[in-house]
Amino acid sequence: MRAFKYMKLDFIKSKKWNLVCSVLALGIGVFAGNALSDAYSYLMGLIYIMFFACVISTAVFSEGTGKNMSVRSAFTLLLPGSAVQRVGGRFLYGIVEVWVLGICYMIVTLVSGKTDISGSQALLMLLLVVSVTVVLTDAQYLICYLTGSGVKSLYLLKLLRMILPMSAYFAATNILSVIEEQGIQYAWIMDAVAWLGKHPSVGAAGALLIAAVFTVLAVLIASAVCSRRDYA
Amino acid sequence: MELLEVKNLGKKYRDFRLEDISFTLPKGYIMGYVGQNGSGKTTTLDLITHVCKTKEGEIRVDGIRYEDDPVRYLESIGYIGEELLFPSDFTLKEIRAVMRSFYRGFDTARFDGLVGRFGLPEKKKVSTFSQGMSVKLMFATMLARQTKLLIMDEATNGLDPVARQEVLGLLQEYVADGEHSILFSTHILHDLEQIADYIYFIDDGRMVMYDAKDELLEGYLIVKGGLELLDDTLRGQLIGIEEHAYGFEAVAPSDLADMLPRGIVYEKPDIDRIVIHFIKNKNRIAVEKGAEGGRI
Repeated sequence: MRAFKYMKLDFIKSKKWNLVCSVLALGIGVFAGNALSDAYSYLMGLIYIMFFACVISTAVFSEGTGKNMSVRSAFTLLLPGSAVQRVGGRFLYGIVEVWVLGICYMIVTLVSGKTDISGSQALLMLLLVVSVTVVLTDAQYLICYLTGSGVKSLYLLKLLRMILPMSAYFAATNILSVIEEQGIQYAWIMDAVAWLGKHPSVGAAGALLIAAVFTVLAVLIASAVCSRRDYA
Repeated sequence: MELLEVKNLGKKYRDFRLEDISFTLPKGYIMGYVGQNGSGKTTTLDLITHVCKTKEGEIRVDGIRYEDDPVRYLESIGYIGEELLFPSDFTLKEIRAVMRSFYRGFDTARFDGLVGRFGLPEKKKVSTFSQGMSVKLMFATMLARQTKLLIMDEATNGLDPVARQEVLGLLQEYVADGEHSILFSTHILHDLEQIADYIYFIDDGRMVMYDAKDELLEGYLIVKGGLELLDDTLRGQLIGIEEHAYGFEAVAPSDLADMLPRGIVYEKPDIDRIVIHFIKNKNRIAVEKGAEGGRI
């Protein structure tokens, strides 16, 4: 499939940036402090890694800014492929980025023995959190496609790339902190977590399905925008 | 069949309009696409390569529209611009990998041969390449593919004379088999004199002139004479009159040669002078219409 070629191209273009940032993120997330010993800490570390993944995955949108944006983006636009294939490949890149970082985090934490949680608990958390991150990444990509070359300033572009994942990260960590401190008042969340613990397959499948549907919709919308817009 | 067919192409921007651009380019020929800065040359080329989009008009490359088969359409086109399009930290290794991945029939051995012939460094980032090396790299990637149409947008600007001659030689090699064509946008009209078969002159988003180069050069003359010879009748027959203290210069249709008054001399033109006088003529009409309060 041609979309995979575009995905591979994005990985080639961003390989140095990806390598450095991914190693850094995993290092901080896994080995910093006394993190990860319990489920709560493990989850916080995973959320941190996912925030990083979401930000890193949008770096490919900075193909150029201002005057030379159209020249730089022309390289990808001149490659033989349709808008759907091109956009699909970009979304695949983001999704694979998120999954790879999440899986690496899980493997490293389990193998290093830094966490007490079981493999199945870690897998369930991974599937749920990564699915949410995929949805966030899709939304972030959609914002990038919708704003397009209308954003001439590199600084504004970087800000746009950070807003959604930062907001989600701080919201998630704050919510988790509040639940930990005032657990009784959020009993419905604890019930939901307990239900997920008893029905992990259903919970994970549901999350993955929602992420997949959202991704398909986002690709279709972004492709429609790109087929009408210049230099997109 | 024509290799490139452009019919009634148009595009509207806030302060510019490309209107009713139509031309064809047969296989084995080179068309020069000329005009001033901002005349619509790059817009036209961007529309042909589908980097820009429009609903006005139709473009076919080797009989195919982009909408019918975007992969085949874009595989048929090679593009070389003034700036290097590859990501700046790519080396030849990455470029080879991308080309092999995306283009069916990308000939890696031919690419390596061309890289060697052009003396391009294997391990350096392309951002360190000079202008000449960048153009040669784009040629290498294009010649190693199975393109049919080459589009060049100001690609020879900034090249030294030796490099430019090398590039012109490559262009002639490209069309020599009669199966490939080139659409060449440039300010350097002297290059077109050497290699172009057709000239399309665009100004302010509209066609001004479109003809075979030889027909143009045979069809017009440069006429010169003293200002005292420039009467109203003659003024009406000349194109783009330039008046100086010592006389005037203008372009005239060749069939006027026998009817020119004594004292006026004429000579064979070059593309440069024809285009300059046509632009002057258009500006004069614009000024006159402005003075009369009319619309341009």
